[in-house]
Amino acid sequence: MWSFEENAPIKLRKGCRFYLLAAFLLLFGAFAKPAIATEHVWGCLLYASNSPKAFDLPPRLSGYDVRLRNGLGFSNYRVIAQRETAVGDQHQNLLVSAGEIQVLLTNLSRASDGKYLVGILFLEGTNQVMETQARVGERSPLFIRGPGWREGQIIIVVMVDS
Amino acid sequence: MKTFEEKFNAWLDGLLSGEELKSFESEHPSLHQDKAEFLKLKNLLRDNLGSRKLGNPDFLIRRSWRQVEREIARGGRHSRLLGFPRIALAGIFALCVGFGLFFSMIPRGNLADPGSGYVAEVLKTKTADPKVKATVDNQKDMTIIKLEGLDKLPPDKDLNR
Repeated sequence: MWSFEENAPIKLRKGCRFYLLAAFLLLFGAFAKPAIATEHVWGCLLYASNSPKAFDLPPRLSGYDVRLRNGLGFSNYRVIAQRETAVGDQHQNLLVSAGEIQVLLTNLSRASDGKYLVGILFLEGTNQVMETQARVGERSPLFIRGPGWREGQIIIVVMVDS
Repeated sequence: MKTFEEKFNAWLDGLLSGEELKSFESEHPSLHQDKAEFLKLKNLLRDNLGSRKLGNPDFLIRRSWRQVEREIARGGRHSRLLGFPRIALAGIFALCVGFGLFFSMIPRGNLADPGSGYVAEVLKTKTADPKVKATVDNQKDMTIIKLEGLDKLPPDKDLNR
């Protein structure tokens, strides 16, 4: 025979279990990576020169000034263009462009070790110049020394952001 | 000195006597009718609202005891899970959540050095023009793909568009 006194605690316990389960799901859901994660890739074109006029590197490359000077032989770096792209499911994503220079992201996938496999295509107008596949870590910029321009060189920087 | 209410209650209950009773009744002759109605109501209530003997007086007690026993049995069964007390499991779970939060939310490594944890490994490069050569320069904490043989861009070309 049904009685409120007997059934109420059971109902309360069931309610508590439901809320406990919901809390667990919320907790783990907050830390779970979404099935289709949107990654952000930053592309930048730098003009490297030995001009005496000093320019600041973009904040994402702060700390790389000495390495860039040693690695590329230029003392001054100026941002020509930069762009952050949220990479969805498009086949090709334009990372950055300036004039006829275009840098496209041809593929991006995350490996099991947390690193990213990126495909980069460098074009001048409609001409493909170079295509590369690289394995990069998060916030690890990959530098490409591009064509010469004026007294310096065009440097392409690609970096996967979280 | 007694108030009217005290005297009235005592009079209704038959507790007034002597001079006090005579003076109260002479001061309030109209209250006799009220007393008669009160006594009638009192008798009526006594006849109809008396204590009633229950057919099975232990029923409620037995049912309550059964419920208490069920609660105790259920509580005892659930207080342990997989052989561990629930409180221990809750502690382990809280520790796991704490470590999970620590490792997922707090950045590690040398934050002062932006190159720490640097990974950029070129797997393959391909140039469309055979005159253009791509070489990979793996330096410490910096990887550069150097393209050689590219035509220099015209100096008047506006790259800021």
